[in-house]
Amino acid sequence: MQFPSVIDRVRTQYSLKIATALAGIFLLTLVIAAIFGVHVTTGPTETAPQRGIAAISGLMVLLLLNLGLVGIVLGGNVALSLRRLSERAETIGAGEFDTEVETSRSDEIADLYDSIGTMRDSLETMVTDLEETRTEIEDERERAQQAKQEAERLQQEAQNQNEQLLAIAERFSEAMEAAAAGDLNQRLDVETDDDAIRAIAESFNEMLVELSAAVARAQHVASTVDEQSSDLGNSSQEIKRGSNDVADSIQQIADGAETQTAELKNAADQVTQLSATTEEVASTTSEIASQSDAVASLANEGRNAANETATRMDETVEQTESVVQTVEELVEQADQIEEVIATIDDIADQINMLALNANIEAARANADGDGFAVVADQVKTLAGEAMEAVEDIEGTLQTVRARAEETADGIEAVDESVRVTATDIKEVEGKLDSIASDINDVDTSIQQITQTSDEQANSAQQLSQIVDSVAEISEQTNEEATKVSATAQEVTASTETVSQTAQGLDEEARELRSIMASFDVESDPVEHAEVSD
Amino acid sequence: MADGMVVSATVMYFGTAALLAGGAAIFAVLALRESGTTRRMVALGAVPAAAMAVAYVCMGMEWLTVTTGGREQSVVRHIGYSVVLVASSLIVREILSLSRRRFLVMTGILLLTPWFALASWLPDGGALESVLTLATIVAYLGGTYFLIGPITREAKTVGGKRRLLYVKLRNLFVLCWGALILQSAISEQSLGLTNLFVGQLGASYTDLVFTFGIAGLVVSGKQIYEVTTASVERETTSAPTTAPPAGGDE
Repeated sequence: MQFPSVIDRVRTQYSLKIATALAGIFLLTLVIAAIFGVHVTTGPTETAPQRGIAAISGLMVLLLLNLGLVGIVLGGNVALSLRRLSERAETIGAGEFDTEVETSRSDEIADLYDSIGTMRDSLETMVTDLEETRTEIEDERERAQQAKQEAERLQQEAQNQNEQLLAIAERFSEAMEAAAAGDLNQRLDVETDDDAIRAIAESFNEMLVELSAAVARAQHVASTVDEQSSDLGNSSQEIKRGSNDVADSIQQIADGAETQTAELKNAADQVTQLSATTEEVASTTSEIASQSDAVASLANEGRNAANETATRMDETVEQTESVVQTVEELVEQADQIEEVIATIDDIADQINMLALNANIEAARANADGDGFAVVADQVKTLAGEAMEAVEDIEGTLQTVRARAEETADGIEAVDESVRVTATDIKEVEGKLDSIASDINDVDTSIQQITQTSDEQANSAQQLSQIVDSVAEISEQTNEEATKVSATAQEVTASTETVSQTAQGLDEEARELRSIMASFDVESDPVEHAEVSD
Repeated sequence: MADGMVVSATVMYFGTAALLAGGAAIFAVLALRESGTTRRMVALGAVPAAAMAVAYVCMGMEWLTVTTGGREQSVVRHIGYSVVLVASSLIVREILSLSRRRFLVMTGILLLTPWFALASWLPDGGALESVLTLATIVAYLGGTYFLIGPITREAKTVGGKRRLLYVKLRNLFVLCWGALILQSAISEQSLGLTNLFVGQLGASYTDLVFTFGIAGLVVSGKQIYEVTTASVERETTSAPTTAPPAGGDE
C-alpha cells in the first residue's frame, strides 16, 4: 500500500483519523515509557521502586496530556463542522434553498454535508413542485367555476329552446296529421332560429313535395298500366303463336345436330387411327435413328482404330529406317576392318620378307647363324600363319558384308511394304471418315424424320381431340336444341299464363287508379311525373 | 548526576532548548514567507518557542536560580512562561479583536499562575506555602474561568473559524497548564511521586507541546488573519451563504 493512499484513506474516514491519532499517542507514550524504563533500570537497586513510581506517575500525566491534545485537535473541528451544518440546515429549513452546503473535509462529515446538500436540492425541488401543483389546482378551481357558470347558462338556454321546440312540434304534428289524411298540400313554417327544426321542416316540406309528385306519377302510371295490361293480353297471344313456330324450328336444328354428331364421331375414329399410324411411324424412325447412331459409333471406332494403326505403321517405318541405317553403318565398319586387315596382310608380307632376308644372312654367317636361322624360320612361319588368318578373316568379313547387304535390301523391302501399308491405312481412315460423316448426316435426317413424325402424331392427336370436342359440342347443341324446344313449348304455356295475368293486372290497375284519386294534389299529375323523371 | 538520571539535567535543558529553538526557527521561516498581518501573527506564534528556548538555555547555564526544598529552581523558566502567556494573549487579542482593557485583564490573570507557583516553592513549608499553593490553583482556575466565560462569550461574536481557533488555544492552555500544575503537585518537592528526571522530562515535553501547539494552531489559521484587523467579524451567528475556505475546518 502506498503512503499517499493511506493518507487519503485517513482523510476520508473519521474513524481512521481518530484511530491514527490514538495510535500516534500510543506510540509516543511507548517511547516515553521506554525512556522511563531506562530511567528505572538506571541507578541503585534500592531506589528502583521510587523511580518506578515516578515513571508511572509521569507517564500517566503525559498520557492524559496527549489524549487531551487529540481531543483539542479532532473534537473542535468536528464540533465546528457539525455546528455549521446545523446552522445551514436551519437556514435551509427556513426556506433559503440557495444556502451553500459545502466543506473542505473529505470524511464521513463531508458525506453528511453532501447528504444535507442533496436533501436541500430534493426539498427545493419538492417545494417548487408543490408550489406549481398549488397554482395548477387554483387554476383548475377557477376553470371549474367558469365551467359551472357556463353550464347553468347553457341549461337555461336549453330550457327556453325546449319550450320553443314543444310549440313547433305541436304545429308540425297538426300538419303531419293532415298529410297523413291525404292532404299533401300541407306545408310547415320554417321561420325559426333553430337549425335542426328548420332542417326538419324543410325536409318535411320537401318530402311532401316529393310525395305529391310520386302520387301524381302513380296516378299517371296506374292509368298507363291499365292501358298497357290490355295491350299485354293481345301481345301474349301473338307470343304464344311465335313460340310455337320457334319450337318447331329448334326441333329441326336438334335433328340436324344429331346427324352431325354421328358424322363427327366417325371422323374422330378415322383421325384416331391416323394418329396411331403416325405414332408407329415415329416409333420406327426412332429405332432407325438408334441403329444409325450405333453405326456412326462403329464408324468412329473403326476410324480411331485405323488412326492408331497408321500411327503404329509410322513408328514401324521409323524403326526399319533405323535398322537400315545400322546395317549400313555395319557395312562401313566392315570396310574399315577390311582396310585394317589389308594393312596386317602387308605387315605379314614384310615380316615374311624380313624372315627371308634373315635366313639369307644366317646362311652367310654359316654356323654362327644357325640360331638366328631358326628364329627367322619361326618368324616366317608366324608370318605365314598370320597371313592365313588374315585371309580367313577376309573371307568371313566378305560373308558378313554380303549378308549385311542382303539384310539391308530385305529391310528396305520391308520398309517399302510398310510404307505402302501405311498409305493404304490412311486411305482406309479417310474412307471411314467419309462413312462416319455420311452416317451422321443420315442420323440427322432420321432425327428430323422422327421429330416430324412426332409432330404429325401430336397434330393428329390434337385433331382427334378437336374432332371429339366438335362432336361433343354438336351433341351438346343437340341436347340444348331439345331443351330450347321444350322451353319454347313452356314459353307457349307461360304466354297463356301471362295473358291471364294481364287480364288480372288490367283489373288491378283500374282499382289503383280509383285509390290514387283519393289524394289531393294541387298540380297536374302528368306534369309532376315529367318533373320527377 | 542525580539518582537514576539517564542523562544529566543540563543535557536535558540544552536538548529541550535545541528542540525549541529549532521549532522556533522553522516557524520564523514560515513567518518570513508570509506578508502583512499573517506574517506578524505567525511570528508571534513562534515567540513562545523562542522564549522557552532561551529560558532552557539559561536553565542549563543555571542562571537566576533559587533553592527550594533542597533543589535549585530556575526563575528563568517562569520568565519564559510569562513571555509565552503574553504572546498567547496577544494572539488571542488579534483573533478576537479584544479591547485593550480586556486584553490586560486576561494577561494579568494568566500571569498569576506561574508566579504564584514560583512563590509557592520559595517558603520552606508552613502556612505561607500552602496559601501560595492554593493561590496558584485558584489563579489557574480563575484564568480558566476567564477564558471559558467572558472571553468565550466574546468569541461567540466572531466567525466560526476564529472562534474555533480561540477555543483550541484556550483548551491547549487549560490542558498544558493543568498538566504543569499536576506535575508540580506530584513532584518530589510536593507529593514526591516523581523525581527530578521524570519531572524534568515531563515539564520539557509539556513545554514542547504547549509552545509548538500555539505556533501550530496559529499557522493553521493563517487564512483568517488578513481580515482580522480590517474588518472584525462581529457576527452573532455564522450562517454563511458561501463555502468556507479550503482546509479551514479540518
